[in-house]
Amino acid sequence: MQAIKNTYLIEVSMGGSVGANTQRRIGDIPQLRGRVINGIQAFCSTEVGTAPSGGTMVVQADLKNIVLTLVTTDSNREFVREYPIYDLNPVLNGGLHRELANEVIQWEKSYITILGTSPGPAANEVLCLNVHYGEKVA
Amino acid sequence: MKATASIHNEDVISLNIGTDPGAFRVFAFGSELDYIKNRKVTGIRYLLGGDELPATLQHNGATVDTLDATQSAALVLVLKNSRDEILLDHYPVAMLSNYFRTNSTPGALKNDVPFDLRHVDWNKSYLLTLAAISTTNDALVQFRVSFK
Repeated sequence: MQAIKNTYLIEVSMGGSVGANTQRRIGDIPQLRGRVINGIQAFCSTEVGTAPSGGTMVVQADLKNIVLTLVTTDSNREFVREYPIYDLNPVLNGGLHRELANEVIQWEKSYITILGTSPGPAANEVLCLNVHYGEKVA
Repeated sequence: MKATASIHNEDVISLNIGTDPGAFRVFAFGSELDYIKNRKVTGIRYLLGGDELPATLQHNGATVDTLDATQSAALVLVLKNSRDEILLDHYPVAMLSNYFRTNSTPGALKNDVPFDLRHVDWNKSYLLTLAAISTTNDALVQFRVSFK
């Protein structure tokens, strides 16, 4: 595994109403603008009991019905499309975290998709993404 | 055979977070690890109470509680450098335990989370409780910090 130099915790809210095949934009993360992203982890209530904002975390079973799409700044490319969040949780992945190929991400264009709600997240629950980032290139 | 992660130098930092710490309490590390601020932190290990450590320990002559997986999930770590830049942003403490990371499978993974953290300012770094933690005695949180 690549050594972690910096991490930033993103909270993604499920919003006030949750249904199958709904998308939630991650939104702009000023701290990560122009930063190379080299790893990502997803956390639920097992790892983070309560979201740092005080919100209720999604539970482990919910992760199966959430996928992640990341869009790069380079020509709006969908660098990762509908990647299972379940696979980004180290506890469910042999303790390892996924590394990413040093891309700069447009967070305001990137989103999660809730595939279903049984199991699945409830309204206003929060998913945490722990992003490993490096140098600023832009 | 692949070796387990090597440890060059290691020190332990202990935080007594008291009995029944409430939610959103901040516990600063203080200056105990100031002497390694110019060294590279390559690993931070944490052990789960009950699974990897006894549920209670003797520390400085007093009986203290260690924290189990559920209690540890209420803790996050914020590490800053000497320029006040956040290196680790609300990093879940439980994820620093190999036992926890491997879904409570003993011995499944011996490699620690690799870090490359430069100029950590322990005075400005802190532990944050996200939820109230119920304990019998004062709770002790220990991090084993590897550095080069």
